[in-house]
Amino acid sequence: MSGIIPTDKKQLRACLLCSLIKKQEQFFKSGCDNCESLLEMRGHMDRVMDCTSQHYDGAIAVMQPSESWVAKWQRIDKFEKGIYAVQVQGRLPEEIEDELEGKGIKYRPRDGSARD
Amino acid sequence: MSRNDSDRDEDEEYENLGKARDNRDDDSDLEDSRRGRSSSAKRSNNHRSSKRRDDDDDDEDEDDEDDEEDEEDEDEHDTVSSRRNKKQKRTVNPFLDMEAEVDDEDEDEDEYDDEYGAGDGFIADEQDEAAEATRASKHLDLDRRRREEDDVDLEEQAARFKERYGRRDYAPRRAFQGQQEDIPQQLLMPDVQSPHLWMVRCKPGKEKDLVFSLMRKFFDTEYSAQPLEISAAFSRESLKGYVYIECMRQANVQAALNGLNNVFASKLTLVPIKEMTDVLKVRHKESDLRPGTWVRVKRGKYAMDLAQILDIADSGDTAKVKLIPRLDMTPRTDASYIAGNNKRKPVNSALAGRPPPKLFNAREAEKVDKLNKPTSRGRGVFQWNNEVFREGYLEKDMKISSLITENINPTLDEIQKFAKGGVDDEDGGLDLSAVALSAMSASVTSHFQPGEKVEVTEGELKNVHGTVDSVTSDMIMVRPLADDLKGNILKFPPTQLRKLFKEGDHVKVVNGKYKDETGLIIKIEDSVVTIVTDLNVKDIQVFSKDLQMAANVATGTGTIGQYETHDFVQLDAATVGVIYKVERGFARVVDQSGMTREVEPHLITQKRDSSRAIATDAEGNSIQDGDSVREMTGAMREGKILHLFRTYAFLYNREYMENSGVFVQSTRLVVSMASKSRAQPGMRLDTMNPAMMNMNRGGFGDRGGRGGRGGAMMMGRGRGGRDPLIDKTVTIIRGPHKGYLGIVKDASDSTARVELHTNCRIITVEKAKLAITNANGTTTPVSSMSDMNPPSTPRAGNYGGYGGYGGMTPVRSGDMTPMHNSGSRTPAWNNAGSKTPAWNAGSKTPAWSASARTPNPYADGSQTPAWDAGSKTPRYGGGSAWDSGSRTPAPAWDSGSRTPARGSAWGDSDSGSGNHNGSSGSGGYNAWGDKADSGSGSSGFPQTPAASSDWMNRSVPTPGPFGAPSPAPFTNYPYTPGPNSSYDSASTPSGSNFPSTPAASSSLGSGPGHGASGSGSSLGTNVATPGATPGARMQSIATPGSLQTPQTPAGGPSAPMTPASHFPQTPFMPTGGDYSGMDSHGHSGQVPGYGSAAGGAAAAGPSYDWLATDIEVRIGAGKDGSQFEGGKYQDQSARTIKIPPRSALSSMALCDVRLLSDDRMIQVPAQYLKTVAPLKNDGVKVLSGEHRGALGTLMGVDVQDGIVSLRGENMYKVLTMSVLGKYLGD
Repeated sequence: MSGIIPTDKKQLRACLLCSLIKKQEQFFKSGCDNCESLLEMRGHMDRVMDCTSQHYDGAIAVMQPSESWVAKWQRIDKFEKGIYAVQVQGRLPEEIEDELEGKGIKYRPRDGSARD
Repeated sequence: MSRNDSDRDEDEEYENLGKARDNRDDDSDLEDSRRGRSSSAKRSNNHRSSKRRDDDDDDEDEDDEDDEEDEEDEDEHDTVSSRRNKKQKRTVNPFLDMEAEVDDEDEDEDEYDDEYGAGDGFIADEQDEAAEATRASKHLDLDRRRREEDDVDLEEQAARFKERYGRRDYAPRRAFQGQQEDIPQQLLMPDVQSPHLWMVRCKPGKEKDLVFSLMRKFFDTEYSAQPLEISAAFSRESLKGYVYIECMRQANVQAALNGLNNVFASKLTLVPIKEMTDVLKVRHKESDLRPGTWVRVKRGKYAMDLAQILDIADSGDTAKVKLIPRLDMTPRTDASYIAGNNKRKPVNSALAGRPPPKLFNAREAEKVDKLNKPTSRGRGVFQWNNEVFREGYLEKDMKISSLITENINPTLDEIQKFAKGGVDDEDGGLDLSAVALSAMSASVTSHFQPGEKVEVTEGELKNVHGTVDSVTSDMIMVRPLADDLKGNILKFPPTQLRKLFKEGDHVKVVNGKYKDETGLIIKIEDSVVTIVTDLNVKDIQVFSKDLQMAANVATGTGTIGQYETHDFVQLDAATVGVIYKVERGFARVVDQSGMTREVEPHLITQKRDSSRAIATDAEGNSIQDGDSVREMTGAMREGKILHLFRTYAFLYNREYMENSGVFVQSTRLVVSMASKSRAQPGMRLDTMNPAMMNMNRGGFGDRGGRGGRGGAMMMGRGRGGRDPLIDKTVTIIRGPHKGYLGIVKDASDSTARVELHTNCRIITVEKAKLAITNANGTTTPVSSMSDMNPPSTPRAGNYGGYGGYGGMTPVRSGDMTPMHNSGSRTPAWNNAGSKTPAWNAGSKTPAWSASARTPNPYADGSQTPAWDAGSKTPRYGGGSAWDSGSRTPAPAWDSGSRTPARGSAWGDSDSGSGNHNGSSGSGGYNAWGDKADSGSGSSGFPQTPAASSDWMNRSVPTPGPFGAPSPAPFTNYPYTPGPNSSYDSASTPSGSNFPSTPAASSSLGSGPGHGASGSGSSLGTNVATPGATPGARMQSIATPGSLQTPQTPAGGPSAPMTPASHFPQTPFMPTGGDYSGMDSHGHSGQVPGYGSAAGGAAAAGPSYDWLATDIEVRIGAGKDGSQFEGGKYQDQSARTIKIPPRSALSSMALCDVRLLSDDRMIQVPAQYLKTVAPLKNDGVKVLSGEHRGALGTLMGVDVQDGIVSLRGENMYKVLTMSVLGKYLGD
């Protein structure tokens, strides 16, 4: 489980889909703990670079996603325990966005541009 | 772990299981199965299928794994059962695993249930019907319970499936859980059930570390006895020094923070529920970076260089930018290679000595570095030293964080460099589209102002025109002009708008290097507008965003660096100049030689200050900054002195176009025009520095007796402050000591301490009771004398002692000097000398009149018109008056001498001394003749009856003093016969002359007449000093007055001396009056006395010339100080209704006026009427000059000038305020 925590603070990146923060090599080695089925970053550095961003704001340690209001507010209450960003700059590449759409998932950018 | 066990209601659970839209069917299946107690196989199938559906929904693309899943599902029973062993209660579904396992605790329960159920029938068989009914209800109960259990189980099983499924992958490869129905954020708001949020202070910079530590700590203790009971912790970049922890109880926070560094756990703050969302607020910052955007590089070799973004990486953190390379093009030697490799340059010097930006040129690069030539990649792309150059520009990937992206404001220059093609690009023109793009991207809301016309440049509404309605910080509300959009207000970002202008618009540049220029638009190409500037008629190109419609014409900024227009600047050691125009980057300067040059501010050595500089004009008058002067030669230009530099005066007159009205003239070639400002004696150079005056005067005077005079002056001056009575031998003429003789030891205003000859006692006696004992035995009452030289008043002192003297000196002293020399007078004069001041003052010349202002007998004298005039016009009034008299001389005199009246007057006096005596009017002179006519006979004076009478009055006392001072000669002259006796006995020339100016002339006349008539004795004495005459003449030649003197040739030798000198001056006064009258500046009005005195009616004419109908006048004191009807209407405003014809205008001419206060019509003599200065925007009537009678509006007032818009003329006129009357008509 603890593989989800960054080992240090260098080369941290945040997933553009779920805003999970991990080290770049962690993304490369194991993919995103929440989104691997969709983004398939594991073993593909270019996917990692495309689907994560090093520009993010805030860090949320989510210990009990289902109980946390913070997680609910951030819409990460269904995800793994771990560290998430409050805001992630950038968007998924368009083709990935299209892919997601094909799977019935509406991409909700984490850069604050989503409105509801 | 448990992903599906969120607290959802039943429906949701089903949904969760069978996410498919047809979950209703599933539900019914389930229901059926439950109700019918279908086989466990079926049930498990059901589970499987629901699970499958779930997966299918989420992972449609993973069909290949379905088989695996199936296998898994088949294993299910085992797994489930095995797990059940380990795991808690209630996980078993009796319908599922009944056959598989039975020995579970829970199973027992279930078994019991089963048994219960199984035994149902059995019992039923045995029990009665009633029991059956209760059993039936129990069945229902059980059913419900089972269903409930089912629900739980299904959920858990699904979770188990998931877990197992997930475990297969390295990383949890399970369905993405983030997808949710769109839950509006409002529904996510925290409520009272939500965990609390605590804010904890921590060491700034350690926020993230703390969050990470907490996470780690949580995982570490997750399965320990004391797990962290916090649900989340977070920090934000923008909230430095705080960490937020979410949990239910404060104790949890403390427990969590226990043992952590850098946190101040004692400072816990509960975040109110309302503010919880604010803490997590995500501020969306639209990344406005797109290809084409201009940015600047933050640091490094290209720091602050403009760059254009070519491309942005999807991650949004790097961008490919286009730069103008700064390449070190110094040829590289092997040595430099080594040096370059071994030594690293200090960072800051890299910036300081960075190469200039220059487009890359492959051929040059080859030469620079023979070892490392650029490699071509075709189509103008080169690679060199690991950098890529396209068409000369450097293309570089840069982190966006190292770029400045806001407030770039690229200048047109910079952009043009980019817009140019490669190095070989010949046309070098502007790529307008690129420029337009950049202009757009550089546009910000602050460039727009409500009311401006704009055009939409992007989007659906492209090309729509509108006006800016309002501007917010990031949006511009536009009111479209198109008909079908009317009434709407549309919102645009500034980048989508362009200001709309048309050719011919007059605009002002509001930003950029041409800021504040104005001009006409001559060409518009997209966003680039070419305008011709108003200031220097040059074409400049600016962005339309930087323009604003402007009505006004820029007059230039007026300042350049620390210098501004009309500043006096030192250009080099030998050159000074005055900035007459400031243009962009340089100032135009006219230097002391009159040459103009363009000077950049750094070439200006320093700014000089001439505010304390004083120079003398051609007349020897002091001039200084701000004075108005006129050239004596050439174009006779007038101007205000901006600055003085040695003998150069920098003058300014806005009416001249050349050099914006600034010109240079030698101070020797200008004469001061303003006389008013001269009224302050302190300003006078001569008063301040007799020596100087001496020199000046000397220059003109050419007199031999200069020194003597100077001495006299000095002496006079030395006495100025002292009561002249002191040391005089006096006789007490009244009171108990009447008849005693004594010497005045000390004197105050009204008393003197007299040491009596008889017993050496010193007694205090009122001055009025003293009479000065003259050398010849006569006595002069002190009262009159002390009046003559009121030493107590400083001014009087000035005049008396010096000022007046000074004023007159030129002429007079010259005249006197000889006399002085002439032994005949000397003694007397010396005597007088002691008195000189007084005498001078008394000399009846204006100076004297000045003294006349101080209350004293002479003041009476001042009531005589002549005196009046004198005292009223500053010119005549003070010593300064004299000055001015002698200063304005040139023109005045000139003109004076030109006027026939004058000449004739003089002629008159010359030839007509006799005439005068004989019959006043004998001469054909206008002035004198008139005077004579109008005069009440006795002599010319009478015209000014008051004067003469006054004079007479005065003369009565005067004699003494006069006699006293000018013992021999003087007394002879005037005193003896004239003053004392009567005026008629014009033979008393000097005396009478002096006192009353006009009389003076007459006396002059009489003087000569005297001579003629043989009373020459007195004259004779004077004549005794013939040499003086020439001197006097000479002098007089220099000064106007002197001019006249020469006209008294005959009598010359005799009369000239003293009298001559005086006379000239006296008559001049009138002339001056005339002159000023002619000036149309209303001086005449101020010197009516003169007019009347000197010029008689003729001269009086102009003084009321200003009177016009329908102007506002104020009723005030008359020229003689009297008040109309005893002051009944004093200071009342009235409107002139009817004015006597011009020819009939005189001081007593009755004007019909209507009082503004009560509309009453009254008749007021002209002399009581005064103009009322109009205010801005008042209607005005021009009272004199070329536009006399014209009506207009006063648009503005500039010191003494009014800017008038005359009716029927499109032009503004600048007219002296004094010629403007407040017009009350329509």
